[in-house]
Amino acid sequence: MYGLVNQAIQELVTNEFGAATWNRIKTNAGWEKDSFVAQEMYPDPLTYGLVGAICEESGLSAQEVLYTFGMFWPKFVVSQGFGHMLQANGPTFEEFVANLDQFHSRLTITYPNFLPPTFEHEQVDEETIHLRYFSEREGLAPMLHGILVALGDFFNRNIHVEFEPVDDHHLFVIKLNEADDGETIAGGEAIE
Amino acid sequence: MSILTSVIDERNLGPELFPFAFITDHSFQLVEIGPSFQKIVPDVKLGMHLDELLELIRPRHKGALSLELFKKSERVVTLFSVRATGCRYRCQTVVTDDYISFYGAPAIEDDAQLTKLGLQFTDFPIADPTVDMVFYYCAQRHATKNAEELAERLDLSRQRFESIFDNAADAIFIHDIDQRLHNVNESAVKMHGFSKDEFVSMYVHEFDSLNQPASILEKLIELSTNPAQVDVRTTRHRRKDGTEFPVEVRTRIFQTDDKEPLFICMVTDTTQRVAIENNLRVARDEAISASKAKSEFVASMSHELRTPLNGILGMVQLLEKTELSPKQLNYLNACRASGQTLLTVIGDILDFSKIEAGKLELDQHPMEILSIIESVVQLMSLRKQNSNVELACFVDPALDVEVLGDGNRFRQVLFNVVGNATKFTHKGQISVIARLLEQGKDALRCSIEVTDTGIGIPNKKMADLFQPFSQVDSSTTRKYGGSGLGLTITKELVELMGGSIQVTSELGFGSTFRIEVQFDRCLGKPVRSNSLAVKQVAKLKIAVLGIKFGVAKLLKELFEAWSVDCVFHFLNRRDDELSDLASFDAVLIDCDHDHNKLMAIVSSLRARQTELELPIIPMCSPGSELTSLQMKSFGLAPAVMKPVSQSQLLDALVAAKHEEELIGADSLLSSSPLAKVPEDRGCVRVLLVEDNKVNQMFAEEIFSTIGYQYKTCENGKEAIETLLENSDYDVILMDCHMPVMDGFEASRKIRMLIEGSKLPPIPVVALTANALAGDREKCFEAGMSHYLAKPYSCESLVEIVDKCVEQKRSLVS
Repeated sequence: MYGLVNQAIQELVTNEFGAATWNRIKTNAGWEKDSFVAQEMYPDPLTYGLVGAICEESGLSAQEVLYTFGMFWPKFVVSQGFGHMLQANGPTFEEFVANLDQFHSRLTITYPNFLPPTFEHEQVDEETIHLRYFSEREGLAPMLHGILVALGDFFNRNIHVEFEPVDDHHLFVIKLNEADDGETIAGGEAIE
Repeated sequence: MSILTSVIDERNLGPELFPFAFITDHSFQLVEIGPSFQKIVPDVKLGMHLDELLELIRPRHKGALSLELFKKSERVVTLFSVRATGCRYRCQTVVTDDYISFYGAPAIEDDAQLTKLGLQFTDFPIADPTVDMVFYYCAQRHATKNAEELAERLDLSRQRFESIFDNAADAIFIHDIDQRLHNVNESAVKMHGFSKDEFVSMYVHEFDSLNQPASILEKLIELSTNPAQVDVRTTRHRRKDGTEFPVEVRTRIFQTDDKEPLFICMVTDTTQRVAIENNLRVARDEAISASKAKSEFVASMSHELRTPLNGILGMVQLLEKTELSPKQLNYLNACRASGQTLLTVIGDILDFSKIEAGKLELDQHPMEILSIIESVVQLMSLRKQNSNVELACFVDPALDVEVLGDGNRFRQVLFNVVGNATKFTHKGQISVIARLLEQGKDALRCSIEVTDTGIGIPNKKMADLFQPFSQVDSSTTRKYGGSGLGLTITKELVELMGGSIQVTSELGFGSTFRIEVQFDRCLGKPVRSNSLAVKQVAKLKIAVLGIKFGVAKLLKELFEAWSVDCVFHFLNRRDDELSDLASFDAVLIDCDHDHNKLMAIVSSLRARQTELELPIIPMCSPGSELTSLQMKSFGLAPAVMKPVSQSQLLDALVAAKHEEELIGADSLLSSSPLAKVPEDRGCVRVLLVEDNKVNQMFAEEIFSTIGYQYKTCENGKEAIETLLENSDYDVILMDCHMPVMDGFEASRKIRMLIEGSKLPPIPVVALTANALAGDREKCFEAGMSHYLAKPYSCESLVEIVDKCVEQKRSLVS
C-alpha cells in the first residue's frame, strides 16, 4: 500500500494513544524507521502488521480498528491537501459514492502499481444505494464501512450502512436519511 | 463515413466526448455549446458573440477575430481567457464551410480551481488528461510538503544533536575506523586541554594511554556490523599537560549508510567515581570486618556460656547417680532438659555466627550414610514413645556404603529436619526415606525425604522458612521452642554438602522436607557393612502380619532389594488361612496392635506350627505392652524394635534362618564404653589439667566411677612440673584456656620435652569450649593429639581416654 495509508495509521495512533504507543506499535509490527513516504509503495503485510499491533495494544478487534481507521481516512486526506479532489468527485453524498469507481480508476495513472478496489454503484430507490465492493485485499470491508459513514458526515447526510459478504465481493447497503449506529450486519472479516 | 464518425453519430457522443466544445458561425456567434462549457463560462447563451465571452490569447492577432486566423491555426493550441472568470480555455479549432468548431477544455492548473469553477471530474471526458494532471499535481504537492516536513524534522534533529553534543558533560569524540578524530565537543576540549583544531588532526591512541589499536580495531569492526551494540571499556586518557585520568568510554557506530562508518564515543571522567568506589570498598571492608568481629564476639560468648553449662550438665549427670527422692528426680530431669535446650540454642547461635563469619566448614572423614540416618531416626523415635505417631525409615540399600563427609554435620541436618517433624506431628506417621539418586566414579548423590502428618506450614510463610530467626509465627516459638535458626543452619550445611533443601506442605495435613546432598566416595571401601547378611537372607520367604500400609510399602521395597520374598497379611485372618504360613521361612508380626488379638493369633499360629518351629519375629515400638516373658512363653524370637533398622532386621532374619537365638537388647549394652570391666581401667593413669572447679569435679567423679587413677593440676605450669616429677601417665587431659600457662603453651613445652627425651610419649587431649573452625588445627599445631569439645559426656570422655590408652599401649608393645 502507498505510504499515505501508513502515514494515516501513524497519525491516528499518535492522536489517539500518543507517540510512545505508536513507537511500540510500529516496533511490534517490525518497522524501525520514524516515518513513511507518502508516494512510496510499502508491502501490504506491513500495513496489516500495524493493524495487528494496534489490536494488540488497544485490545480492539481488527474490525473495530479498521472501522475507526475508515472514519479517520477522509478527514486525514482532507488534512493532507486533497479536500478539493474530494469535492471534485461529487457535490453530494450520492454523487460522490456514484463516482467512487471512476475516482479510483483515475488514481492508477497518478500512482503507479496502485491496486485500487473497484465499485459497482446502483441507486435502488430514492432512499437506498447498493454499493458492491471488490478488492484484491482481504478483510478491509470494515474500513470502507467507516469511510462511508465519515463521508455521510462530510456531506452532512444521515445515513445508515450495512454490509455483508456476497460471493467475491461485499454488498454495502446504504440507507439515506437514517442515522448509523456503527453496527454491521455481518461484522466484516478478520484480517489476521 | 468512417466507423468512428458513424459510432459518434449513432450514439450522439459529441456532447460526452467534447463536453467543453462550442461552435460558432463564421460571424463568431455561438450556435452550439457543450454541457460542461456552460460551467466555465457563466451566463453563456446561444447567439452571443465569441469575443463577448472569451479573449483570444493565442494565436497572436491584431484587430478583430477573423476566419483566416482560425483556418491557419487548426494545428496549434488555441488559447482563450474567459472574460468573466479569467479561466483559460485550451482548444483545437476546425473551420468548415458554415462553422468554426472549438474542441477544448479549461486549462486547470490546480485542484482548487476545479472547485472554484464548480467543476466535477465527471464534467471531463475520460480521455481528457486534465483530471489526471490535477491528480498528479496534488500528489506532487503532497510529496513536496512531505519532503519539507522531513527536512524540517531533520534540521530540528540536527539542532538537537548539536545542542546535546555541545552541552554534554561527557566528552564526545567522533572518529573513523582508523580512530582518526573527525569531531569533538566542548567538554572534550575542557577535559583534555587540546583545542578542537588540535584534536581533529589526532588519533585516539595519542591520548588514550591504554589503547591497543589492534584490539580496538577488532572491536570497531564488530560494532560496525551491529548498530545496536555499545562497547563499554575503562581506560586512562592523557591531557595535553601529560597528566592522566581514569575514564569510561562508551562507543557505538554513528553512521551506518554506505559512506565510511563513523563511531561516537562518550567519555566520562571517572576520577570522582573511582574515589567514591574506593571509599565504598573501604566502608564495605570495614562493615565486613565489624560483622566478623561481631561473629567472633558471639563465638566467644558462646564459649563463655558453654563452659559453665558444661559444669551444670556434668553435675546433673553426677547427681542422677546419687540416691534421690522422686520429687528431686523430677526437678533434676527438668534441670537437665533445660540445660540441654540451652545447649542446643547456644549451638545454633554459634553455628549461625559461623555462617555469618563465613567460617562454617565441613570436615571430610569416612562415614556411613545408612547408620547415621538410622541412628537419628532411632533416637527421635524415643521422643515419640507412647504417642500416636509412628516413625518409619527406609534407606535404599545402595546407600549402605562408606563415604567421605562430615558425619556430625550430616547428623545435625537430620536431627533438625526429623526433629522438626517430631516436634510438629501429634498423630499419624513420620517417614524418613533415603534414596540413591546418582552414583559417579568419585561421588554419589542421595535424597532424604522426611514426610510427616503434622500441622503443616501456611503458604505465605514458606518463603521465610529458611530465613534466620523465623518460625511460622511467634506463637510457634512459644509453643514448640527453638531458636528459629535450625533451618537456616540446615540449609547452609546442605548447601555446603553440594546439595539443596526444598519443602512442600499442606496446612493441617503435613509437610515434606526433601534434602539432596552429595558425598565423595570412600575409594577402596566399596563393600557394604550389611552385604554378608544380605547374601544370607536372599531367597528367604517371609510372611508379614499386621503392618500398616505406609510401613508395609517401605518394608516391601527393602525386602525386594535384599531378594527376600515377602507376603503381607492383615491380622484378621481366619485360623484356617494361617496354615498357608507353613511354606514360609519366618513370620514377622507387628505387635503394636490390640494385645489380646495379637496373642490369640500367635497362640493359634503356634498351635498349628509347633512341629515346624516356624520362627516368629515380633516388631515392637519402645514401651510395647508385650513383655519379654510373654515373648519367651510363646517361643517368639527377640523383638525387632521400631523404627526398624536394616542391621537389626537382617540379624533377626539371619538368626531365623539358622534357628539361632537372636542377640537380646541387653547385650547391646556390652558395646557401651561404660560397660567395660573396671579391672581393665584400674591401672590407667590420667593427668587432668583444668582450672575450673566444677569441671574438675565432673571429670574426677567420672574417673572415680570408672576406676581411673588421676591427678589434677590447676594450670599448664603445674602440669609440667608434675610430669617432670613423675611422667608415668597414660593420657593428659588439657584445658586450653587457663591462668599462668594456657593449654597451648603447655602442650608445646610437653612436646619439646618428649622430643628431648625428657618425657615419654604421652597423648594430650585438648578439652575446649572453643568450637570455631580452625580451633582443632590450633590444638594440633600446639602438639595435642586429640580433641574433645565441651560440654562432653561421660561416655565421650571415657571413650577418648580408652582410645589414647590403647594407642599408647600399642606403641609401647
